[in-house]
Amino acid sequence: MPLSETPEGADTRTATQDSNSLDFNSLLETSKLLNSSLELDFILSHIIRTVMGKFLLRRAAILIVAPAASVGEPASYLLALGRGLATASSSPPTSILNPERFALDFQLPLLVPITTAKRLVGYLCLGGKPTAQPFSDSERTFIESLASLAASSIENTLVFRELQSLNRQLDQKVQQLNTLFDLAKKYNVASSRSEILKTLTQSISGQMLIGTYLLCFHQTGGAAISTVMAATIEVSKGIKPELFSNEVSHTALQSELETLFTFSVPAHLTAEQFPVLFAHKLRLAVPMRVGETTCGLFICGERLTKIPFTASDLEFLFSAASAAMSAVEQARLFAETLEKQALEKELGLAREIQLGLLPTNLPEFEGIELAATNIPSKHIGGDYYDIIQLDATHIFVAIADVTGKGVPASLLMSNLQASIKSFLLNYTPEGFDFAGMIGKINTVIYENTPSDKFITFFGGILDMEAKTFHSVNAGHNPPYLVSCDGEMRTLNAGGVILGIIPTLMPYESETTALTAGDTLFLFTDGVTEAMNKAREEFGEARVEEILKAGVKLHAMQILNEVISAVSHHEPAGEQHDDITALCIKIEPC
Amino acid sequence: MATFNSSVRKADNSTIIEVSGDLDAHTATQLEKTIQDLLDAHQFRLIVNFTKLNYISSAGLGVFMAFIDDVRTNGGDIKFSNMSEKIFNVFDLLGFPLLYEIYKEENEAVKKFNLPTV
Repeated sequence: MPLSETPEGADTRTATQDSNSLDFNSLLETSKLLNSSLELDFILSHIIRTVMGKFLLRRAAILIVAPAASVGEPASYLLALGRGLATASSSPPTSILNPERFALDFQLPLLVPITTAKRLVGYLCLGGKPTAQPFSDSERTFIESLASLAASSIENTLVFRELQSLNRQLDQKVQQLNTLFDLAKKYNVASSRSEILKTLTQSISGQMLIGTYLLCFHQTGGAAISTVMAATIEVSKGIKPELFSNEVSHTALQSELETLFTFSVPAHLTAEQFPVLFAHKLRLAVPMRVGETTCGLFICGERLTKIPFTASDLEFLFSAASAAMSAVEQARLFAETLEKQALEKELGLAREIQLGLLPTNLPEFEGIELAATNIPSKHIGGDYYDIIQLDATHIFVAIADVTGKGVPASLLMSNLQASIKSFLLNYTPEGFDFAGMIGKINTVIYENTPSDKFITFFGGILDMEAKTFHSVNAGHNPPYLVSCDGEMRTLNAGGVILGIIPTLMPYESETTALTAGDTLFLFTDGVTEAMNKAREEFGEARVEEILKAGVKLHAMQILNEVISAVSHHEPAGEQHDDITALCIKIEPC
Repeated sequence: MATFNSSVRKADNSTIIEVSGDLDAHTATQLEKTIQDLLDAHQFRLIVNFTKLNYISSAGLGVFMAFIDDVRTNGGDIKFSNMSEKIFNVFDLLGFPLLYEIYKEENEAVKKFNLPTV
């Protein structure tokens, strides 16, 4: 088209062409800059400069979408760069929820969205031209082109920043895990409850920058289940003492704590639901869980830096608090086990001592057989027997059963044994008052024991020369005397059980003449009361049957017959009482 | 077992606590005692020099949190100096720079304590 033909139009075209070429140059320059820079501020100020210079604008701003604090929250914008916005009345905000409103407030009539293919990343906000003319279509096209060139750079920068922030979050997470690891190591060796709780609060306050906190536990160890166990605040820091001293708020505080004990996850405390705790600047409650139970609470104020707790922070607090609670629980169980072991060791010692009190070697005599056995039950019991040679022709024989089991029974048994041995030190065959001695022992036992502790006792002195047996029965299972032809009687003469009442009436005694082939059988109720699965007692009848059938046997054989019958009767491992038996045989028939 | 040591010396108006080794849940109690002793002796201008510290855990950081209120109520402060990059990163990650003054060199902190209090 010949230019000369329309000089006027040509002039116009040239002006437009010049303007267009300037636009293209600007865009080209911008595009080059954008590709070579990740510095957002540099890019933005370049864009602002370009539009302000080109259109002689006095006000302009760029808004950039803010990184979302959490998913689903409405988008907000940051004022990334502003020129000429400051007025006498107000300074521009840093965070903007409504860009249209912002544009209106700061007289920025042109609002150009900055978008990438994927999303809106911000707005270019421009003030009016000095001529007060609206922007023409081509001017708008230029501005939009500039905005779209900037968009991907802004996007890149945003992604870069998000990555940086993610990296930092990752570092923080690693740090939290390190702390949990450190705590776990410490808990493995820390033994006391206070040490564990100290480590917990120290680590949490360091990790989270918390200056106000308390630890609260349900008091345990109440005897009755129905006892209301109050929540007790055990550790606290930075909390005004009124929380603990104010009577009025006490009930309210208790009820708030009780509510929190029903929570299984960390909770933010609100003024509405937890007025007392909230008033003391406490903002977060973290349950300390062992399994399915909340055993304690860690309650704290906000961070000293005022930075809100993130979901990851809550996770950390929850893990740390619950790990501490488990460690406390384990420490308690460990201490209990140690205590139990110590007690068991002592009981074992007591039992050894007690067994040591029973005779180990029985004396031997011509024309007489002695056999004895004591099978202790799992617990220390109170059975006692003794065979003591008094002189060349006299033997003391005794069997006894102390009420109850355990240490008290064994103490009482050793008291009995000591008394007997002391009295027997004075033994002389002439005029020895055996029944009187039992009376004196009864008084000793009576005076030394509470009324619910007593001893069934049977004792006698065997005269080898005279072939007699002088005996006293103080409430014990009557021993059997079986003759060679199977005739059987029991030895009953005596008096009341030892230790119940002081000796008012002297104990009776009896002297039995012994003949060759006689069997004396002494036993405790562990023999006759041994129970089978059907809860039937072994009973006297079975003992008598064995004794009658065994008149021709040796003492040891008779004893073994009885014991093996009892152990057949009683299921293995279920012996509930000591089993003690003595068998004395005068010259086998 | 981690080793940790702390030594105390004076510098002008300040008390310097030099820490070395690993400051973790095990050793935090040692540092706690050191600082408690200083507070009992009315030393409230404290500078912790981290030159020789190898490792710090949250429990170690918790020690500083435990005393900062007391110290500041008494007109003093706990300032930090000479952190390695590794140690600083931990303090930085947890937000300590917002609450505590951290100096590159000990003498900068000493100078700060020498200034008349406002």
